[in-house]
Amino acid sequence: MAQFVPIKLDVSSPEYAQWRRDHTPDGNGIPQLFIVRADGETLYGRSGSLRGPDLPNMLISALQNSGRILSAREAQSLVEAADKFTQEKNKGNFESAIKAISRVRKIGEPGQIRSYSEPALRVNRLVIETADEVRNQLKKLANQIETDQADIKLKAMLGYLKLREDFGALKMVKPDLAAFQKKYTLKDNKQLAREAKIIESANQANTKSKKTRAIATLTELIGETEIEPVRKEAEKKLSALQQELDAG
Amino acid sequence: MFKSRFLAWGTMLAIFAGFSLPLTAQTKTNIAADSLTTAKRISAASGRPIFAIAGQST
Repeated sequence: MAQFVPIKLDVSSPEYAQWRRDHTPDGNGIPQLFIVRADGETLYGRSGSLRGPDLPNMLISALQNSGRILSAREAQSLVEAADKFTQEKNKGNFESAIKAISRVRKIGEPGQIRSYSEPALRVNRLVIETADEVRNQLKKLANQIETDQADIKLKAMLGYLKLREDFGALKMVKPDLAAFQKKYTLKDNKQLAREAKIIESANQANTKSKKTRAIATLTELIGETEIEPVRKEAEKKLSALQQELDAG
Repeated sequence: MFKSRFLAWGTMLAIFAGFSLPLTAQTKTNIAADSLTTAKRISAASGRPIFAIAGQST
């Protein structure tokens, strides 16, 4: 019974009137028994008492449909993870955001936590929303890659690589990213994907040594590529990196 | 009929009391708005379902 929040309702009170509107019981007699899940869903609502084993059986059945019950510590972990996720995502720090939300995996996989508590529902909602955003973005990129225009294809390929960099650790979208990779980075697009990866790696270079290495690989790419938009993009990035290094 | 309903409600409460219950959401006096509010808050925070018995106060 410690797994329930017990409450007694007076049928003549205004609280009961509102309660009854939200959780209409089957029957009008009293007493009335209700089991309401943490998200407000009515699991049981009937007039009449339950005798013998009927009450414990009903309670056990209700608990089986109530999802995971959190300890205070677990609930707090979920709240903190959701806050950190939102904060980092708003700053554009997607990897940090996903790292923050992934810390609650021992409670459940974010996006699929089997609890109806508000902290769990909030984490699930945030992750599902983010996964939907990634999927929508992948659809747009897929349309762009299917064009014949090399510059648009390159932009889409770079977009995909960035998306994979930012959200690859989010379990919910791994199948979508893998499907995109399988469909659009092999066969006819293999060379474009390889060369785009070199440019994207240069985009990620954030230390002097990485930038120096990136300059070398970009220089090699510029000499080898047969795709004009790749050459232009590589030259642009090369110039930017050289300026950054010169500026110290 | 009233007496049997009251007895039934009393029986339910006795069964309730027989279990070890966290009392944070349960009042021992008349139900006040903040008690149901508290019950909902605890339920939402923890995932524990609400078990409500509605009847007439004595």
